[in-house]
Amino acid sequence: MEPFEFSFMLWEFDFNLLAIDKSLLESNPKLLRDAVKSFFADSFRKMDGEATIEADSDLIRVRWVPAAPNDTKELVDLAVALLKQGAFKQAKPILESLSNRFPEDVTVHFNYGMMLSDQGLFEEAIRHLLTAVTLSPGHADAWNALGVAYLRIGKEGEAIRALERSHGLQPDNPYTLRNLGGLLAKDNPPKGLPYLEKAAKLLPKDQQALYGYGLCLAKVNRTDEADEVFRRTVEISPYTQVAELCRKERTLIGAQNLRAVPGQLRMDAVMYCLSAMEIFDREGPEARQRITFEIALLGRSGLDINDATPKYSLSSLEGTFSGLQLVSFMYVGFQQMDPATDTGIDLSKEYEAARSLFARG
Amino acid sequence: MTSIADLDRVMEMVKQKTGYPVSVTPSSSIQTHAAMRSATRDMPVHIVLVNPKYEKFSNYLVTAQCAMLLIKWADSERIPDFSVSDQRKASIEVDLMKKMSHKGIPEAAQRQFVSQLVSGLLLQLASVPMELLVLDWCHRKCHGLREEQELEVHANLRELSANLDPKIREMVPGEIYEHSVAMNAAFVLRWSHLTGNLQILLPYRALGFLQKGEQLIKLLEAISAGALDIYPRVVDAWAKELGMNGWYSWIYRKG
Repeated sequence: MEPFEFSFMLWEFDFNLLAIDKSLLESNPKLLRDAVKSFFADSFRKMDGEATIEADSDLIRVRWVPAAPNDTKELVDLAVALLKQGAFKQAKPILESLSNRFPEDVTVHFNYGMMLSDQGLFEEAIRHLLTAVTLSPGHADAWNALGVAYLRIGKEGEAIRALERSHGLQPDNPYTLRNLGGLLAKDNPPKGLPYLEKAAKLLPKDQQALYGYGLCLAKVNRTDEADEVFRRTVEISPYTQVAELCRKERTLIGAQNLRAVPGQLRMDAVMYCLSAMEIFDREGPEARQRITFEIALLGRSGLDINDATPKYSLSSLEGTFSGLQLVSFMYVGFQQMDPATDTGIDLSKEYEAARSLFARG
Repeated sequence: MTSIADLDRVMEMVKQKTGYPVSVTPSSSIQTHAAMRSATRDMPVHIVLVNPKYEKFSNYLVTAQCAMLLIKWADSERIPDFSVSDQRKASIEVDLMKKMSHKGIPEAAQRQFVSQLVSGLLLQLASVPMELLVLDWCHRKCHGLREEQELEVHANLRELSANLDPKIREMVPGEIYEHSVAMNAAFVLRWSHLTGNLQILLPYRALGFLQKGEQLIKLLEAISAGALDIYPRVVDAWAKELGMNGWYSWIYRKG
């Protein structure tokens, strides 16, 4: 079989694919050539066929003879693996070359189109994705990718039609459900909600899918369910930006629930604030700092302020406490140490009431 | 096991071993991937800071910081803290200044530069042996985190290899430069041994730094992996090899 060949300029290589500093590679051309050759040698070693990699001063040439004739799968897989690592410049010559050589290959057009869409080259992306759905009208993923590309250039009508086509072909495609649900929920949350709910069920480890579902639940005032979804989203990977956004949403929901009757004092919080004032007065400023900071740090994992059960414990203070109790202690601590601190919850009225009770002794 | 399951398990191990929980906070103000402050009686929580820039491997970053705590707190009656007195550091700097050619650089600027170099080298001596121990520990015990570990280590290796730039080599006195790169080479070698990745050795091989790195690895391997004081012992062994013994001292505290 005729070998498959592609080449690219050495300076176009995506340095993120190597665990070597970019400036060092740029200052040492031999090292750069060796490292790039080594990268492709490693990549092709895993594939079934024979590869030759040549490098001269500016150019890298890769020549590959697959073990089975016209077998594009392994090469497409390599391009997809490169795309996943963000190495568009390396994936592009492979996909470009494949699409020229195999113009009837739907997988090639689909992956090439997705890559171009991610790169912001929407017209070209839509052209390849349209080719993919023409070659294979039942390709739900290609319709989904086409919908996303339309959405990115603001053609919402075409986007909805493409996504609905994908959904019609594959009602359980979680990515279509997520994209279609998100798009519909923008103007009409109740309409988008069932799609987002199903997407979240099908993608239980996808933070974006769960976060989108949680936001939509909050928009339709199903805040208890939204809170639970945000809690699960944080659990998936607690230290991402999405997790941070979920924590903020949970704080907002907690604060809303606390004020079920606007303007009315929460007497339980007043008593907790008073108790904190007594403890801090008795134990002194160092203990106050320890307790306050420990609660603040514990609170990062989420304190359930709407459950009165004493279920939290501290190293710095004996006993078990409810979420609202700890938040009240923390509020008093920060009010006494640094009133400008944003604790994420407003207990100012309860704090003032407790202060006047405390002053009366 | 998933990466989050590994993370939860290791955080729980820290709580069991040290008696203090771990609290994690994203912080854009740190320069490194992650940072950690060990709990004390005044601050009864271990605080781990994670740079949000590296969130795609944040579970590994937190786990690695927890592994550091477990290694440091192996004997909670003797937790080692690496310490350098201002006086000792100043005398090291004076010795180094004598060895450097001045080439018309103002003395104050040169003194500041030397101070930064000495601080950097001491920080490396305190941290690279720990990073190697953590590398092994996580690779052995946290299979669910392998993918994140590889991403983090590669980002780290990329940053470390920047020190091989010839411009840096020209600026830094030979002795300091060689010690610093030798420790980095040991880190790269260890990862290469664990994963079979030979590509990462290329720059160190090309510039002739692998031998010294291998020597440091041998010193680490000579100490029993189960030793409670493995961390200070590796640091001491490396310091002796690099002619840095006496540059620091250990302060031991109770947990």
